[in-house]
Amino acid sequence: MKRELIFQKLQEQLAAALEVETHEVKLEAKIVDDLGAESIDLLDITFRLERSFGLAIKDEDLFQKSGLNIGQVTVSYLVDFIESKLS
Amino acid sequence: MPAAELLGKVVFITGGKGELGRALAKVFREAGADVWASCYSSNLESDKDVAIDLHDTMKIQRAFRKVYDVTQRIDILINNAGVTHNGLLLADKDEQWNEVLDVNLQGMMRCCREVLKYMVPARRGVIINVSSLAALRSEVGQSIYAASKAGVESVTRTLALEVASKNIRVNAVAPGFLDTAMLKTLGQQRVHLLKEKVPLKRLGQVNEIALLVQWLASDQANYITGQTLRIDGGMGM
Repeated sequence: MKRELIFQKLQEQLAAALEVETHEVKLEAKIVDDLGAESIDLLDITFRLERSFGLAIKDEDLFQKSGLNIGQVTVSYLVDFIESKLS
Repeated sequence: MPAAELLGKVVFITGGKGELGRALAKVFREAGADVWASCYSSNLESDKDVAIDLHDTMKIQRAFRKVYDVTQRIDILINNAGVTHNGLLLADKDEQWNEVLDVNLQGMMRCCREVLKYMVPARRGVIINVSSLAALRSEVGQSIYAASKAGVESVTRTLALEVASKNIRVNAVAPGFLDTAMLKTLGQQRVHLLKEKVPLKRLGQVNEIALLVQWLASDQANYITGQTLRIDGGMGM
């Protein structure tokens, strides 16, 4: 799947999970600090990504093993993560 | 009326083949809900029965997935499955404690975790956990069972807080002595003594518990979350 298509699907899923507009979901946006995700939203995001991309994701892989402070995880990081999972 | 509000709702009941489980399934079916019942046994009676092993996360995942794949929604989870154990703490073995906690407490938590994968994105859901009078009132030989049910009530409150912002309610019901076949095995005299201990001087009927759960799952109870409702003829006073 092309990176642009991954980003587009991710925008839709994050907008639905975080109840924000899709245009707010920019590559540089931070999931927690900018888009306002709470801890339960991180699980919701994981479930949605699993379903929409057909992946098996452990939430610790997605957020805890990123090497980033949770507040620093960006949409761009999620695109990279999904791209690597799909490849 | 709860019946109208429950029409078409998808209900997942664990321990669906016990006396209370069957009563729960009956009242929800009568209200027009789409009822799926899980049980430990592989002896399934209908295509809406689901085999489940509460010790096993993977099997729990498969059970919920099976229901969701067919229905595309799970509205209500009733964690009714449980095991009991009577034994003095001094004589109990670790394995006995582990079994009770793994089914009654962690099994319930595993089911909650799984169903929330469907409820959180849907921004709606109701979870009702079946606790017991034992969580509140001590009886000799009930230490681990009582602890497991006290845990159920504690998890109910915590989980209710964690998912309230997603329009998901989590509550518990705590029945007292119920008029079941299991209780009758105690013998007529002991059953009579139990009735005498109950302020309302009778045993509870499984249908009474089921109707309370039905109401708690309905929109009429939309402002109730994190609570344990006691239905025990006054035993908890």
